[in-house]
Amino acid sequence: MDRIRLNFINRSNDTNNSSVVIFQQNVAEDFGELAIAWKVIENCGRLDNHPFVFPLLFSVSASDSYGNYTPLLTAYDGQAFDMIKSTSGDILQLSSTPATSPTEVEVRNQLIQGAINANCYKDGKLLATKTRLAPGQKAVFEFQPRIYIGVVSQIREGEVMNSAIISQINSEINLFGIISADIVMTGGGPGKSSPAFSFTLENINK
Amino acid sequence: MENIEESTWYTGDWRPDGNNPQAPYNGLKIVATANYSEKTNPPTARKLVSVDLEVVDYTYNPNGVSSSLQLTKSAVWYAIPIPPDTTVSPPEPNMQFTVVGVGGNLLGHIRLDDTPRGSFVNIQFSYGPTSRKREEIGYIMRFPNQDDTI
Repeated sequence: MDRIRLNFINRSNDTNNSSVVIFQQNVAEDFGELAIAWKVIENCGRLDNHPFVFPLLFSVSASDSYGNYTPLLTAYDGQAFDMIKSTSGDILQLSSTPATSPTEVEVRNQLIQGAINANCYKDGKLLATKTRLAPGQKAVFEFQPRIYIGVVSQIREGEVMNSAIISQINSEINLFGIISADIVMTGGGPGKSSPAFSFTLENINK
Repeated sequence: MENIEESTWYTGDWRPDGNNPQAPYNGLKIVATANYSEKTNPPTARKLVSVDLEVVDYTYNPNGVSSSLQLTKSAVWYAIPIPPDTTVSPPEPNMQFTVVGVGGNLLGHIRLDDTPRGSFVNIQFSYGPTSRKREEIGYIMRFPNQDDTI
């Protein structure tokens, strides 16, 4: 199993056409509270649903100081990738030296000069990034089968979410061993006395 | 019964590099130990009998406040008890244990879901300081339904 089929269902009483953000956090490094909005579900009205795929693997890419982006390379636990200068230019390649931890993936800047950004993607969408890696530095990534989900406004996919936004998102869904499931959102509604948004799993296939 | 497998799960805010200097000191961890039936003669595969759980909350106590329970039946929600504070007499519910229920439930819940692929531990609770309760739902670990190492 390399992906989980998820189906978001809006059973809330929301009347603000709220967007729902889904993201992961890199547990390999302490980024403070910064994360990337991996998926933003917009205009999903009451009783609408929004199916999507959550891959368990992720891909890595790097961008150099010239604004070049390398192709996405599928990463497996324990692998490391080196950004090197080849005869064709800067390229990202699988390293013969594995990552320090078998549960982590590393992206190393092996260029003589110039900083790089290391990026992780799931389903082609930006999941995590570490910017301004100087030569000799590395980014370390590890993701657990867990997503964070919450209602936000004015956030777009691929954008960095700061701690103020993240602090509004307090629902964690653990997906260990799940093949498919519905994520059902309830709560919300007009007025100050409306209940908070809540998320539950239904139709779970393990 | 014999303890064969132990697994530990941490909440997303867990700091593996150590506690914060002030509350919330850390997140929460769940230590699960699977108990299998005794060895037999002639040897047969040992079945999963129960799972012991220790829920340790570090929100307000850097040493953690523990609540223990045992899951013996599948597909039954078990309440996570609020442990007693034994530093007062008579003992009272330990207010440093922040795990409560979701959706109006007073207590958090855990259950075991038996499938052909193993028994999964399913959680449903919130925890943390009142100013920022975090909800945790879903599946966190799996144990084999039987141990074939006879």
